[in-house]
Amino acid sequence: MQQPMIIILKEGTDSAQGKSQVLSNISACQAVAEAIRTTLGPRGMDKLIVDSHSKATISNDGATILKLLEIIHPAARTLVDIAKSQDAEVGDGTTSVVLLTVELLKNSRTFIEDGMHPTIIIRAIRKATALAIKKIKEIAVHIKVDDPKEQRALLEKCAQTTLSSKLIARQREFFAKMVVDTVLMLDDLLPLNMIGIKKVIGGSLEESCLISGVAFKKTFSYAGFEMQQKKLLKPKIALLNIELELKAERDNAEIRLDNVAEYQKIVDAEWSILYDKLEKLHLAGVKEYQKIVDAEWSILYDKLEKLHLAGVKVVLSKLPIGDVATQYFADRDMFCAGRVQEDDLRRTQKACGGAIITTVENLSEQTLGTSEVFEEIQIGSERYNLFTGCPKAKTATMILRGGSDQFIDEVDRSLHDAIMIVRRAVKNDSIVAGGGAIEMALSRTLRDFSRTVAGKEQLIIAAYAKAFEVIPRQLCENAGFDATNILNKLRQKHAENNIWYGVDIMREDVSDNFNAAVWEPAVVKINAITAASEAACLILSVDETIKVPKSSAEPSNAAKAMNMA
Amino acid sequence: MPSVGTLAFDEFGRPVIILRGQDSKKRLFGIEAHKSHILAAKAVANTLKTSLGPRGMDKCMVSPDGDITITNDGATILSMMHVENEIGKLLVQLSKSQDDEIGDGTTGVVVLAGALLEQAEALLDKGIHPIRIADGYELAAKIALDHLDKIAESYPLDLKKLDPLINTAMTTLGSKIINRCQYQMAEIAVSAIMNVADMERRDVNFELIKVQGKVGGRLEDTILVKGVVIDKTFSHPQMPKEVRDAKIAILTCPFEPPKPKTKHKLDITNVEDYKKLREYEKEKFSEMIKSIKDSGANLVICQWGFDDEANHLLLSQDLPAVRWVGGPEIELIAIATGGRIVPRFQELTSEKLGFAGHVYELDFGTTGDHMLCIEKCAKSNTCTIFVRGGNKMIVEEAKRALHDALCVVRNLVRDNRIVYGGGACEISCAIEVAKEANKIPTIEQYAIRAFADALESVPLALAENSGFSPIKLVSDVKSQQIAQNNSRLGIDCLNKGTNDMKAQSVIETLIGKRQQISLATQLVRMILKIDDIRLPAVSTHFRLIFTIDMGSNASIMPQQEDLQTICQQTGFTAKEVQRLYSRFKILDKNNCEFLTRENLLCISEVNINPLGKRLIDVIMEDYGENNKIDFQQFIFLLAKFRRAKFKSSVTEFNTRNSKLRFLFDMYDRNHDMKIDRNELLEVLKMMVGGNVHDDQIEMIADHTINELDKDGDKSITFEEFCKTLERIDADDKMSMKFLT
Repeated sequence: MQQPMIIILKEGTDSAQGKSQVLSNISACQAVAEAIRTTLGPRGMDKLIVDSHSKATISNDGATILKLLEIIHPAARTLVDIAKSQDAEVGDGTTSVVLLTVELLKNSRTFIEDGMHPTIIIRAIRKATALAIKKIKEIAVHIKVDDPKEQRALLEKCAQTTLSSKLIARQREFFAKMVVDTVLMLDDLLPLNMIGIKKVIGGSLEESCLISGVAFKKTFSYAGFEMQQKKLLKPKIALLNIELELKAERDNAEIRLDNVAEYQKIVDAEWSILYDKLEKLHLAGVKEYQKIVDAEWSILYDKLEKLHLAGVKVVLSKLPIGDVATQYFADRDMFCAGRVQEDDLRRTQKACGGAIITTVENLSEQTLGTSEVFEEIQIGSERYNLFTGCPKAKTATMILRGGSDQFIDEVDRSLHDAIMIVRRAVKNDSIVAGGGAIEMALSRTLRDFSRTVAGKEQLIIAAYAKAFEVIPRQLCENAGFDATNILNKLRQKHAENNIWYGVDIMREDVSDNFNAAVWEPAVVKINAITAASEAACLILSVDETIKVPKSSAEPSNAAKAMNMA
Repeated sequence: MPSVGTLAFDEFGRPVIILRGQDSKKRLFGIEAHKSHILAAKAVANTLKTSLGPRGMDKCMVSPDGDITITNDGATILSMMHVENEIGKLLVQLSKSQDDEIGDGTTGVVVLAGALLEQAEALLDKGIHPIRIADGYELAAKIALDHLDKIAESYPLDLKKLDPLINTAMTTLGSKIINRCQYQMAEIAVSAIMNVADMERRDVNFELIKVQGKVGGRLEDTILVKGVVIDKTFSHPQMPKEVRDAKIAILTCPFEPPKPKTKHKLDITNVEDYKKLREYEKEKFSEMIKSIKDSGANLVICQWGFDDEANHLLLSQDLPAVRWVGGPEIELIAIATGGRIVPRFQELTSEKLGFAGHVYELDFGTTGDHMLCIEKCAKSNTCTIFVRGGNKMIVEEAKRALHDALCVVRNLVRDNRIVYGGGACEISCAIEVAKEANKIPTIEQYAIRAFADALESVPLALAENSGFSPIKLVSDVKSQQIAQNNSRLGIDCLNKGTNDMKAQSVIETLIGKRQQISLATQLVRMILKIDDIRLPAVSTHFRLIFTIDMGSNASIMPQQEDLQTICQQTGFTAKEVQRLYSRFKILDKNNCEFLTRENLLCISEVNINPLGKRLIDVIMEDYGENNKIDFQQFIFLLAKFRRAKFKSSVTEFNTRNSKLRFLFDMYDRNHDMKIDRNELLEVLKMMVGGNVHDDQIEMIADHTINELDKDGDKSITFEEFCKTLERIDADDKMSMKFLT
């Protein structure tokens, strides 16, 4: 007798399950890690990725690369997510977190193949993670922050360690100083959006500069702009969100005039008609041509005059400033810029005080900002508006220079990493040595610990310990060293309790990286280890993937029809 | 394809898809990636190499719209080449950023970057890690920059003595097409800059210098106007052509009755109203004119247009006026004349008027073109360079050359340190870098030495372009530099008899040189650091597409004489032959200068055509030899398919007869000038494939022959064949069209 088939899932649904599924997920993750393996460390290489819109990105940042690879495999997507979360949380170490995850998975693979239940592995991994974090906290070195000089040195070293693997490694001292200056300029909350990064093509890297204040590109300007003052001392700054342009005050207002006789009379129509009067005129149905023309003008002039009378010298607006207003300001030695980007305007407001206002009524000292100097300067082929000496200077702007778009973009990403690290380090002053040193120390601790455990977990914790070694090994491989040799040296050093020994890329040897000032904030490592082990656990615990096919063919037909048309 | 790593297999050996569209993505990895970058960069650098120096050649670029540009400005060439390769694009940006920052030396920077990469290739082959090469390059760049600072000389910047500045400008102009009037141009550039330079801030505002061009006249007619030149005339032909002591009203409001911006509608219901409206308008106009008169102005410059009525009124009131003057020009006029831009008539007062001593119309030859010249302005710090030249391309190139010269002079104003050109400073740096290299204990030593070699690429290219034996000359100069400890010795490109660049006054700015070296080094580092390229889909992005497509293939391409004979015989134009050649090269996948059957089968249309195989048979046997067809044979074949629409375009190849003969040959494979039953059967079978029974085909064949055969020999002769096809327009059906 034939059993009737029971169909549970929709036709076309792809489902895979069991041990083989776990193993195939692991292989997928390994394939992804291959893509970014070579970016690790000071001798790491960059990747050039061209997307389907033929926009090219050159990057060394793990998170950026993974994002651009368009990974669709569900398990491998987890890796992208942890890289992103590491990026958001600490900003750096995105490559190492992925490598660590994959190495953990790789080492667990044999156990899965041998039939060990994933939950046992997961439990052991959790245990080992807790232990590793405890160890980091134990050995991390606290640097006194009460001494600003010492804190600076610490921050600069952390920034340099991050930058050493980037494109700007050669200029890392220069940029580390710049990054630290930037971060220290901010207030206690260290808000990232108060750091403006502007890119100007041309010039060499060393011409990049930091401005303690706000800078933004000259906006589109109308005739008359060139006659405005380009340098003002202690100007009052008005930040507006209103248009200073002749325009239809009410979009839907339509005025019907059928009384030409009125024209003669109203040629000398009065000037001081305010906005509400127009309203009244409109509502009252007075149909006079000239009055309306004049009203439009007077509304604008009224605004301009108020600004002028309040003693404002610099007018910035999010919305356009028209030619009439430009010339009006030029006549009165004022400066104006329309269509200023919103975040630039907001940073100006933070820096210079005042408020972004939507009306020019009641302009007062509180609503106007000020700065020591306002200046328009030429940087490369662009002109920039600069506000420096701001009273509430909790904001900074970096102006980056370089030979090409992709180049500056990568510098931007590198500096972002460095800024994040420095921010972390400001808040959290414990550090560990980089260059694989901390990983080797953890590896040794876990290995020692594993020997004290009875049962299956012993093997897994030992495997975890081995997984940590991937970081120094990859560093060596990328630099073209004999990885096995260096690792043996490191293991020996660590066995002798030299916990800060790591890879010395410059001399192809091992060295005390704490003394060599290869420092990283401890919190980066803690976060990386937590994220990696969680991701590994997640992937191990999945034993079935059900993939529902894309919903029926109709949309694709529709799409075809669209193409035809 | 080294795409190892992106493919993973599950337990059953099925590949797991990890990346979106991973099978269509292209990936280059490791050393292959480096090699491909270097190749691309070298290709770009090589196109520019010949443009370097006073004896450098120009490039002619034709845009897709057919616009022609002739230039030897590196940045311009690269930006018009439409380079598609990613690395190539980086070089384009490199040259652009040099252009933005310095304005000159755009070719040199690309040549240097290309040379650095070329040297890197050899080092990579030695097995040196790319980052160590980059590190070495940066060390070397630092040495070179320090050395440049050392050999740089401070330059006298004296407003009264402009000669030294003019010499520098002349160095820049030396390589340009306009070097015929090098001195004059240099003088113009220098006095323009001096006119607007702010010596205290050491800054030059380029917005105050306008470069205007007009086709006609000679290059020598180029003048510097200390004022503004605009491509406009007075609005009414009867207005005076010259105004002295002009008081200028600069308006941005139109001579029109006022209009509200709010949507409005005017309903006129009777004649009375209409008349009143006219009255109103008229009154408005006279009011406007009056306000201008009252302010004391005797010249009106307006951003917008005038009504005819207003124009007439202006004339009758003796108010010369200019209309439709663009925004930037209005601004320049306002700055120059010290006037204020007035947005509405009510605001016009006498203080807001600008002043110019002399305003007049310039006219040119017989063309009837006029331009307005505003001179002797109240504030004379704006100026306009007015370029003349025999054709548009010359004028455009002259403008670019002047821009370079202006930039150089500006840079001198900013920083008056100079180094000597003609390859002198490069050689000097190369010597210094090579010397320092020996002191470096690590592997970077090799990279530093390579850097020194790369620096020499500039003098080498200079010597080569000037027709000297490059290696000999450069090594001579090098030894002289060391022997005399004189860093001013360079390549004597113009055969002036001395290679002391100071005596020749070949001068370049220090900041320009520094910029070249540091930009090139940084870019090279970026390129060396990439070891993995991922590209979407296939091929298209990975081909360098030049507008001058033939560049590197030129030697294999039929030589000039051959080209002419081909053109004469076949009636193709030279351009068409080039197009066909590029098509030929695309088909020629093995790159061996002939096509095989397989190559032709790659054309999808041929491949799916049921008669495709037969077509190839005909091509190979009748036109090629040994199953190969080379370009000459290929083009004679294609000549049959040339259009013969006009009498003049008919050659021996593309007559109706010869076109039909090609068709006939498709059937007649034994060349007896007859299509017999078997031959016809063969072709018919090919055409219908297996769909029709053989008996039926035989029936069709018999039927056809019976119908066409007039002389009863049971076969079709060529004459009979032509007769059948009488009504078919062979020229239309059997021609290829060139897309233009």
